[in-house]
Amino acid sequence: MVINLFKYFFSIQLLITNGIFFIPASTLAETAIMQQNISFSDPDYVEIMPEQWLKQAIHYKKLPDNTDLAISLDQQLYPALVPLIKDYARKNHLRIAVSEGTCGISAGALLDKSVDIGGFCCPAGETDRLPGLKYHTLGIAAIALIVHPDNTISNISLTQARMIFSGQTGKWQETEQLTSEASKKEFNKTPSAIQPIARLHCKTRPGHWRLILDNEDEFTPTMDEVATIPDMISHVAHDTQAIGYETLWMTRLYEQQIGKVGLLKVNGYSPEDQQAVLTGQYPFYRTYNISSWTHPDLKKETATALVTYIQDNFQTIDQKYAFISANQLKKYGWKFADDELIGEPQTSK
Amino acid sequence: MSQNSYNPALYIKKRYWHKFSITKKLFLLTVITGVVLWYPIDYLQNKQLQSIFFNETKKELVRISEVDRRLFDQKIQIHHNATKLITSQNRFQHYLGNLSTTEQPSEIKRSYAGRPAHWLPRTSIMRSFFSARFALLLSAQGNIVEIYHHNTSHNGSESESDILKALTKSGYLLRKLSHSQSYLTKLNNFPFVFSTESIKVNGNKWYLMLVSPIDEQFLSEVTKLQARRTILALLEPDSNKIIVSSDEQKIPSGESFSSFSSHYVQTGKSFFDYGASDLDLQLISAVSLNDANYMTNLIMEKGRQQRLLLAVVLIILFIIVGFWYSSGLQHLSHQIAHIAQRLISKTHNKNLLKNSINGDELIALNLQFTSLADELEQKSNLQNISEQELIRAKNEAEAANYAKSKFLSSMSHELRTPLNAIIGFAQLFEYDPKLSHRQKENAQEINKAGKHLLSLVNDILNLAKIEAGQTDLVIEPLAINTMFSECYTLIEPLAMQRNIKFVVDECDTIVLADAIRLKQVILNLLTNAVKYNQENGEVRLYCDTANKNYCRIYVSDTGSGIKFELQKFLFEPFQRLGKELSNIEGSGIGLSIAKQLIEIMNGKIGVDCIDGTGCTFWLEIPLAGTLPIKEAKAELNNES
Repeated sequence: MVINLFKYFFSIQLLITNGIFFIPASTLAETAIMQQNISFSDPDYVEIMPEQWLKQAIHYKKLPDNTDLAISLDQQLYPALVPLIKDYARKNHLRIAVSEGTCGISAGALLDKSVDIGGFCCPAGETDRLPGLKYHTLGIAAIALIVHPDNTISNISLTQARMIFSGQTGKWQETEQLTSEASKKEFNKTPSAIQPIARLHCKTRPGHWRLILDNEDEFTPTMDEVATIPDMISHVAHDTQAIGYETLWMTRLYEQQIGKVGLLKVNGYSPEDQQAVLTGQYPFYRTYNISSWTHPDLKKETATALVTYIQDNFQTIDQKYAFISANQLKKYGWKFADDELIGEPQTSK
Repeated sequence: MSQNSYNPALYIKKRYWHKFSITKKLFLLTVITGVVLWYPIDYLQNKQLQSIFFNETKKELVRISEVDRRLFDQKIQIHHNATKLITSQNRFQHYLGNLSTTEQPSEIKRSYAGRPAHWLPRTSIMRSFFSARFALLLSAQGNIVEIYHHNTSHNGSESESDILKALTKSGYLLRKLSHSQSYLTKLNNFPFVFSTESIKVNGNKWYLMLVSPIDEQFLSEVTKLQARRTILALLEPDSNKIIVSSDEQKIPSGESFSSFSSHYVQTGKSFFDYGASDLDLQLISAVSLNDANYMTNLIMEKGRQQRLLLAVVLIILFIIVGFWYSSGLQHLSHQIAHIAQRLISKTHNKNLLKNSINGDELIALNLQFTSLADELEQKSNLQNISEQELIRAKNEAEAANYAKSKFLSSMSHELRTPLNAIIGFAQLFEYDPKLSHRQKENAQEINKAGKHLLSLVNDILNLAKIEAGQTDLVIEPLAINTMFSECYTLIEPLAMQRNIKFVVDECDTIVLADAIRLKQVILNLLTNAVKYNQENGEVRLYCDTANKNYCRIYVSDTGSGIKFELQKFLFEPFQRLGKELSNIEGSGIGLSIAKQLIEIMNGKIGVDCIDGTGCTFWLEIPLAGTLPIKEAKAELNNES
C-alpha cells in the first residue's frame, strides 16, 4: 500500500514537472486511479514563443478586407455554434468568417495569428497555451463506448474498459455483465476475442481518449487504429467483437450513414445519462473550449463579446449535441480557473 | 355466292407474303424481333444500365478512395512510429553515446540513401518501414547535428533549406508539437509532416526528427500501394485550388480541381485527422472517368454477351416451338385441303387449293373452308332444285298413274259389262237346240274368248286397284294347312287334266295375311306351275317354318324353267317371257299382281329357277308371332 502511494505521488510529480506522461509499472486498476486530475493541462502554463511571433498582429488569410472577425472551429463544434455566431453577427451587423476544421487547424490558425477565436473539442494542451490567449470552456459531452448492435454486453466497469483497451481482457466472457444466461450461451457460441478500435488523435492534448488510457503505448498492440470518426463507426458497426468510442451525437450522425452500433454503460451509467456525466459518475467526456486573445494588441471587443454571447446561449443549442454547459458543470463542483475547466468534481468515478 | 363474298384468289394476290408458310413467317418474325427490335431495345436498356452501373461504379470508387485516405493516414502513422523504433535501437543509442554534445558542430554532417548514416538502422530494416524524406539528429538545444537524406537523386536542396529555416525560426515549438506524434504543418506555404522523439544517452538529451514534404513523391508512394491507380491531391477547401497532387502531369498544382471535374471523379474529401495537423487543407482522391467507364463497360459487355446468349437461346426455342405448332397446323391444313379438293368440283378452286398448301396454313385453311362453304352452298342449291323437280315429277307420275288406274278401272268396268253380256249370250247359244253343231262350236269359242277377255279385264282391274291403293286387306292369322287344303281342292282337277302330279305337304303354322289375297297368290303360282309344266310333271306345294319371323311357302314345278337373264322381268306386268306365241293362255300380269299383293301384306316373293329343270317360286309371309300357335288356332276356330 505504501509502495503504491509512493508510485502514485512519484508519477504525478513527473507529470507536473516534465509535462510528459510517465507510465509507472503498476497494474491497470492502479492506472485507473492515477488517471484522475490529468484530464487537463496546467492553466498557468504559457508556451514560450519567439520575439517575432509576439510582435506579430492578427492577420486574416484569404478573407475580405472588411471581415470583422475570423473564427476556426473544429468539426464537432462547428455545426453547433454556427447558428449562434450567425445570430450574433446579424444582431451586431458584423461580418464574421467561420471555417470548419479540426483542433489542429484551430491551433495552427491561432499559432499563425490568423483568427480571433479558435474552437476545440479537447482541453488545451501545453502547446495551445500561447502568450496572450485565453480558453473558455463551453461545456462537455459524453464519449460513449460503442459496440456492435448484436453484442449482448450492456455494461462494463471502468476498470474493465481500461483492461479491454490495454489488451488485458481479451474476451467478452471475461466481463461480468452478460445480460442473461440465454444470451451468454448464444454469445459463447462464437469466438469472442475483443477487438478494440481507437482513434488516437490530438496526442498532445489531455482528456478525451486519454481518459480511457493516457498514452498510446498503453493500448494493446492488437488494437485497430483508425484516423476518422466514420472509420470508427464503420469498424464497430461491422465487427461483432469490436469496441470503440465516440461522442453521442457523432455516433448518431454516422449511424444513419454507416450502420447501427450499441452503447455500453460504464459502471452502470449510460452515456445518455447527463446527470451521471455531470456528477462525474460516467467517466468519459469531451471538453469543448473556445479561445480569445487577451493581449491588448490582439484583443477585439467584438470577439470577447461573441465569446460571452456563446457562453450565455450555449444551453440553447440543440439537444442532439448532448452538451452539458459550463454553468451546469460549475453547479456540480467541476473546477474552473476563470472560464476554463481544469478539474473534475471530487466525487467523480 | 353474294357479291361481297370473300375472293381467295384476290386475297392471295394482294398479299404476297401470304405465300409463305407460318413456319417461315415465324422464323422471319423471330429474326426481325431478334435483330431489328432487339437492337434498339438493347441499346436503350444498355444506355440505362450504363448510367446505373456508372453511378454504382463511382460509389465503388468512393469506397476504394477510402482506402487511399487510410493508406495516407497509415503512412503518416508509420512516419511517427519510425522515430520510436529508431530511437529504441541500440545502434542509434550507441552512436549517440560516442558523440560529443558540448558544442554545436561547425558543419552539419550529411548522409544520403546511398551513403547511410551510422545512427540509423541497417538498410534492410529501413527498407521495411522508413519512408521519411529526411532524418535530423538534433542536440538538446535543437541544433542540427546530422542530416540524412532518404533520396539518392536529391541533391541537397530546397526542402532541406526550408527545414533548416523553420527549425531556426521555431525549432523548439516544432519539436514540441511533433513530439511523439506526426505533426502536419506548412513551411513556406508547402505542407510537411514532422515526427520527433527524444532520448537521453549518457545524460545527454537528443532529438530524432523525421521530416517529409507532402509532395508528389509522398502522395504517389501512397497511391502505389493500391492496385487501382488513383490520384491523391491536397486542396484548399475554399478555392478548390490544388496544392499538390500525386500526378502533377495530369492534375498540376496551382489549378482549380473544378477544371478537371469532367475527366475525374472526386471520390473522397477529408481533413487530416490522424495525429495532429494545422493544415487547413483537404485530401481528395481522384479517379479518372476513363477508369469508371472502363469498369462500367466491362460489366456492360459481359451483361450484353449474356443478354445476346439469352436472346439466341430464346430465338432457337421460339423457332423449335414454332416449328412444332406449325407442323401440326400444316398437317391439319393439308388434310383439309385434300378433303376440300375431293369435294370441290370447280377446277379453278382446286388449283387454288393445291397452290395454297405451300403457303400460309391459316390462309390455306381459310381458303379451304371458304371453298367448301361455296361448294356446299352450290350443292345445296342444286339439291333444292332436284328435290323440287323430283317432287314435281313424282306428283306428275302419281297423277299419271292415278289417271291410268282410273282409266283402266273405268275401262275394265265398261269392258266387263258388255263382255258378260257376250259370254252370257254365247252360253245361251251353246244350249240353243236350234243351232247347228258348227254354230255351237262357234258359240263355245265366243264364250271361251269372252271368258279369257273377262279374266284379262279382271286382272287388269285388280292391278289397277292395287296400284291405285284401293285394295282393302284384312290381315289376320291364317292356318297355312287350311289354305293348302283349299288350294289343293281347286288345283287338283286342273293338274289331273294334264296328268301332273300335285303334291301338298303339311304346313302346320299360322301366318298374318289377308286370306283371300294370299290364296289368290298361291293359286296364281299353282296355276302357272300346272300351265307351264310338262306332261306327267309334278307340282309341289310346301313350306319352311325354320325362320322365326316368317313362313316361306314354296311352289315348285318341273317345267322348262326360266332363263336367268329373263328372271328379272318375271314380275313386271305384261311380261310373258317368250310364251306370248305359245298356246298357253295368259295375260302376263298375274305375277305382277302377286308381287304387289304379297308386298302390301309385308311379304316377299321370289323365284329360284334352274334352266330346263323347272322353277320354285316362294313367298315369305310374316308369322303370327305375337300370338302363340294354340291361341291363334283357337281364334281361328272361334271365327270359323
